[in-house]
Amino acid sequence: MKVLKAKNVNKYFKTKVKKSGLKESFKSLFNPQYIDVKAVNDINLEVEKGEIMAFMGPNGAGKSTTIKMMTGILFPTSGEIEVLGLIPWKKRKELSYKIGSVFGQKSQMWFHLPPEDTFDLMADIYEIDRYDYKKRVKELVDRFDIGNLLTIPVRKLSLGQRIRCEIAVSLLHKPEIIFLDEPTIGLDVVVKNQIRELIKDLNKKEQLTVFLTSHDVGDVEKLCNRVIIIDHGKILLESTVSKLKREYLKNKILSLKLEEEYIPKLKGVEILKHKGTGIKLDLNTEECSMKDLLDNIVKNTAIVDMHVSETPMEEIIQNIYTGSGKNEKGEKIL
Amino acid sequence: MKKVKKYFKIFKINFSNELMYVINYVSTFLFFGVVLIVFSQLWRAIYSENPVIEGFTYEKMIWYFMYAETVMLSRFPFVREIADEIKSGDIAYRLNKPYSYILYYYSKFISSSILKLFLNTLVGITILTIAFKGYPMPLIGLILGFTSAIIGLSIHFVFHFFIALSAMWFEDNTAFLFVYSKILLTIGGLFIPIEMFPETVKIIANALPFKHIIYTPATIYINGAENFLKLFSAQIFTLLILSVVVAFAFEKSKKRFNVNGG
Repeated sequence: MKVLKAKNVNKYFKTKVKKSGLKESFKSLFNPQYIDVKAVNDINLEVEKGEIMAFMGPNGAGKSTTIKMMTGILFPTSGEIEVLGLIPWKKRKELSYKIGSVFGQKSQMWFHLPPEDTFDLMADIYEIDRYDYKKRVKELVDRFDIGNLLTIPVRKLSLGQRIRCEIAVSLLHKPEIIFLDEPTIGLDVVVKNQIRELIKDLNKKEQLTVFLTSHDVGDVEKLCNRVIIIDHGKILLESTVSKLKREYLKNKILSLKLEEEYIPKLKGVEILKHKGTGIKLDLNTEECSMKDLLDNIVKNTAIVDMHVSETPMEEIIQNIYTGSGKNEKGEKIL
Repeated sequence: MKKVKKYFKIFKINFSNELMYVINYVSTFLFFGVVLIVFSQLWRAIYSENPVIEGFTYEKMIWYFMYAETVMLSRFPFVREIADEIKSGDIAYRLNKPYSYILYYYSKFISSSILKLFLNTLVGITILTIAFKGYPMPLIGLILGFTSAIIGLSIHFVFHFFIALSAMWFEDNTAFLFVYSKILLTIGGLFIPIEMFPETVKIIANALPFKHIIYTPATIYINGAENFLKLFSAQIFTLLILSVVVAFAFEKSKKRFNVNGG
């Protein structure tokens, strides 16, 4: 079942422009010039119930604008959006009972008061029955392990503790979809993994649909089924995470320690570093198989030590942003 | 009922929040004390030749000024907060909750303002009772004035919300804030009751809604039940009309949200 649909969605903002200089400033005073900035440009997407979807893109790509249209805060210039069967900007309040949101850089908790007070406030804001509220809080407190944090003022919590509380608060009313905007921003590796595990767990147990924006490729790799990459308001790529890895992880990095100095000269093998008997290669497995490369090396010398690694996901995403991503046929797709 | 309860909860939680830092009000109390002493001396000089001016005795005038200043100092500032939210786009994060944005801020505003009003009234009465031993404190006026002050502050909220909304059109709305606060100081009746204004200014001041913010509560405070119903119903009527206008303006301006980024 599709819980989120966007069809030919556009959002333009009118922005004032002015050339530099005092004269231009005066000119602009009497004759202001405006341009239309295309924040979102003909976006089409669909999200299935229970899916964890990543929405990635560099700063200013249009991610937050899209989320704001999906939550009914912004009106699209044109196009159609349907979230849980509702048109967000027409039924914003009705929709807000069914969705949750966490914005990594913003807090919905009261800074000087303990999280318990925010839980209590949200229970009334979402009109949750007292009995259901108590049961739900207990469930969330156990799952997020925040029992000992409930009575400490929010300002005294670490970022990791705060984010755990933020996510728990946003789940209080049992939303069907949760929008997570950079939920792991600024967190250390251990807390990041903890948050990811919690999101995964919730997705499984509550069939919660997760719409996540992040700059952190780890979030996408470890959490998501599907990824959409957006830049300049346009969707650059839509793929499952496994397909993305398969298609873009054609290159392997090999670090070798050889018995004697040797440089293999094969098509699809690029020498990254070479010093004495140590050598680092970038192997394109489409042009040269691992077997052919290793056969070539062992014919000439023995391998003392070897380490193989894949192109980091971060680099793949960066290549897509910068326009060097290629499709299966080796053609540029951007 | 649940719809009302959520705003009452915002009121309560904000009240708790304010109580955490009630010590911060000390500077306001000191300022209030100094202002009361300075103005009581000023009015003493003015009243040295005339015991009654436009129906106001010196004592009545001092109590009027005390309460007008109490209301003035009890306003919880929020314009900058909303204007910043509009300019930065953070307003988006408030709008995705099932409550009215205006009532959310109103609940916060009125809870902080009531706390301030209560404390400032206490401080003002204490100072004046010590300074004018034996002068009977208007007790009925205290209850009715407090009620009227809440409505006055609510009208002030509506005006400030308008000014905050102007951030949708103007990058800098401090000029509006400046003009508005000067209106309150002058024709709003803070320093001088409207009765003492020259005839033309009196007509203008009486025709404008600003008098209901400070002048009406301070007048009810000193006069008690006298004319209470007339003044109070005029206040309520003003609040209703302005609330409808601000709600309409807010709905219309929503389309102007220009929240870039991300």
